[in-house]
Amino acid sequence: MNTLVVRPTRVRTAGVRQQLLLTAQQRLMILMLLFTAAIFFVSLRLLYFAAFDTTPQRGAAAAFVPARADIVDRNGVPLARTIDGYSIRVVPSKLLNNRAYLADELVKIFPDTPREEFLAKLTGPRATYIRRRALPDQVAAVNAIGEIGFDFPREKERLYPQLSLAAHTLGFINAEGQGVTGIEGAYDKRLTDAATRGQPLALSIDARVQGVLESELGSAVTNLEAIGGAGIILDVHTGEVLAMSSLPTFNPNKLTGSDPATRRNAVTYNLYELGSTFKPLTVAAAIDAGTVTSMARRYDATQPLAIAGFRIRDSHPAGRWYNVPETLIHSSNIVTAQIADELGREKMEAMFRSVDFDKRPGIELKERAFPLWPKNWGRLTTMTTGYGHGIAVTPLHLASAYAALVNGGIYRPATMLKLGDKAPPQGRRVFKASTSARMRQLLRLIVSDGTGKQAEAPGFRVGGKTGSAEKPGIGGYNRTSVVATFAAAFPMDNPRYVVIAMIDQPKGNAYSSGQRTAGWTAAPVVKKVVMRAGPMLGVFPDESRDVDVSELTPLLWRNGEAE
Amino acid sequence: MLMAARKLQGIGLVLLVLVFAMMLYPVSLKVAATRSELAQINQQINRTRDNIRYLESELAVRASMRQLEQWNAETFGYSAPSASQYLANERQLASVGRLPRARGANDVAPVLMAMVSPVALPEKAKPAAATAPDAPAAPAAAPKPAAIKLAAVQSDTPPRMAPTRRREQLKMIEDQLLAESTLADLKRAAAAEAGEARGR
Repeated sequence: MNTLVVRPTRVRTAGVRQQLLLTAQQRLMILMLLFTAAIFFVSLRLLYFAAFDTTPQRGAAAAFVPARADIVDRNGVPLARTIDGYSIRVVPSKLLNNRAYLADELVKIFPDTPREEFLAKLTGPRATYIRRRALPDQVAAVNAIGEIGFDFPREKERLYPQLSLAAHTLGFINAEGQGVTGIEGAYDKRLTDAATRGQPLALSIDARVQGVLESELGSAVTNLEAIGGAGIILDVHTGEVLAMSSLPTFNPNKLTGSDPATRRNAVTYNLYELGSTFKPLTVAAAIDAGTVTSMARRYDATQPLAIAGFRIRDSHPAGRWYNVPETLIHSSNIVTAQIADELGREKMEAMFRSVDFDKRPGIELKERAFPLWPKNWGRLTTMTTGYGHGIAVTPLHLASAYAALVNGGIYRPATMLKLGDKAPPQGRRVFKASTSARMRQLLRLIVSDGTGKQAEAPGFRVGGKTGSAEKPGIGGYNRTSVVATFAAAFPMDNPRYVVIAMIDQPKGNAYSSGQRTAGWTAAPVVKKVVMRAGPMLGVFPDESRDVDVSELTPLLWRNGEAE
Repeated sequence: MLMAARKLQGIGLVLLVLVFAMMLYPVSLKVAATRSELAQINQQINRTRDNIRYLESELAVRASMRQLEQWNAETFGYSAPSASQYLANERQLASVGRLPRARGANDVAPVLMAMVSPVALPEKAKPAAATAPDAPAAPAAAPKPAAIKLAAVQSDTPPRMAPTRRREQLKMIEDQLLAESTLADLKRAAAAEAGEARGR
């Protein structure tokens, strides 16, 4: 098709045409220069890439850094790590086989899930997971069915290789990968931050010691048909927690279906009236304050102490007068109440405050309970708190207080992190060094001659105090349900570790010779734990050593010959 | 002519640069190839490390404290060593041996050392010398038998050791370690083994 254009009348002169040509050439020139410059830049860039490009290759360094940092124990044993796990997914629209047949096959591989559940997932409209954390064997078995509707994406998953070991300490993460409880919850930022997650987080826990504590406490709780238990091993000089166990426990690898109540950390989150284990603290405060000056001073324990309409009585009344070592050895409530009364409310309160019984326990975990501090502190309260009633604290509170009692009188908060070469925290003085030395002798006497005889691990110089507190129930204390605690330290000539074993409501059966008191239930646990874990902690038994108690032994009344 | 040469010179320079560029091109290719090879190896290392981690985790699960505890309860039955099984020093180690402790084993008196000497002669010679002054007829004859006896003791019989406590102890150890019957057993076993080996 031709286009007819009317030729414009020739009005332009040759000069104008010349001008137009020049501008056209000029524009072309500029365009060409632009192209040249562009090509020049591109080639320069190419040359740079060829010669000087040193940027890391794709995915070279990133693969090393785990999505969430590992958690290891003090010796580097992995307690939690993130691995590429298998999962099994189904895309119903791609399924070829008969769905009922597939459901049958799946039930054969996973017998713990009902067939209906599989059938519902296979016939559903959307792609869903059949298993989130599948074992490689199971994946192979599902693959062997030969159905293209299944696929096996590899996903990052948190694995706790030691299963339920230290489950309460480690805690667990939710489906979105955020830490919920324990170390996972408390150090969520540190574990997921790109800058720090390359380095594993080292805890103060020792996996072997933890295993020992859990197995011994677990067997005691099972055999005594108790409802729970708690145990802790603490380094007295640094406050590092070597082991922390709470029963009943759970498996953080398999949370679905487990009882949420088992996830409670009894060591830091449960409050107990810990009973007679408070007596050494009261006596130490009295020695410190100077109200008890002589170990030989005797107190009347012949009859129950009546005060403010309340009678303080002993569980095994001896009907005689006790001196201070005998008070602890026979665990006399009456005499301890008198000592506490003499000490007075202010000093008693000051001592409890100095060992942080009025605060949440000092530890990095988030699950920390606030102690039950007496509301109205009267004379009776001073007396009852002296032997551990009327005030409820966590087992961790008691462990930290005992560490201060035996280590020379320095209180340090507990820590879950490995100190390594770092200097231990400064701490603060709560007892005099001389008081601490005296308490070591007294605690040792309780085990060698008193209610704690069952805790005597030969050669380990264990010292400690029993505590069998009746549980408060409806309308007063329940005589048949007790919290049996044994708070110990070893070796007593130079204390290094505090061990606390607590059993909640043990039944007096053949395993404990029909007794439900701490001397027969919790003390044997401490003995077994010390005998097994002592050498792991660097404390070796030596029967030729002991703490010198010769100045106190003449004070003990034995079959009427001494005294 | 000059103009043409000058023009050619320009072309020649361009050609020269081109030739060198072409010669250098394989070098750049080689560098790129090596680089990508390295990247591949890096990836392989990463994959292997991931794999190692995975296997380590599996091993840790299989050898977890719980599992070991269970095996111990079911099969091994090991228990914690008692205080008497720990030894602080060599002296304690020595006292562990099953040997009945000879009385005064450690206080070896210097007198005993003197008694060990194999020469039994002086004691026997002395009485002879002592008797000499008593019998006036003897002096000439007495030294002679003594000299003969000396020679006999020193040459023929091996020196008879005085049975001291220390010696008794050593003997007891030797008896325990290598009794005649033990040695015979050993020899018999060795012979049997040798025969077997030859038979094969």
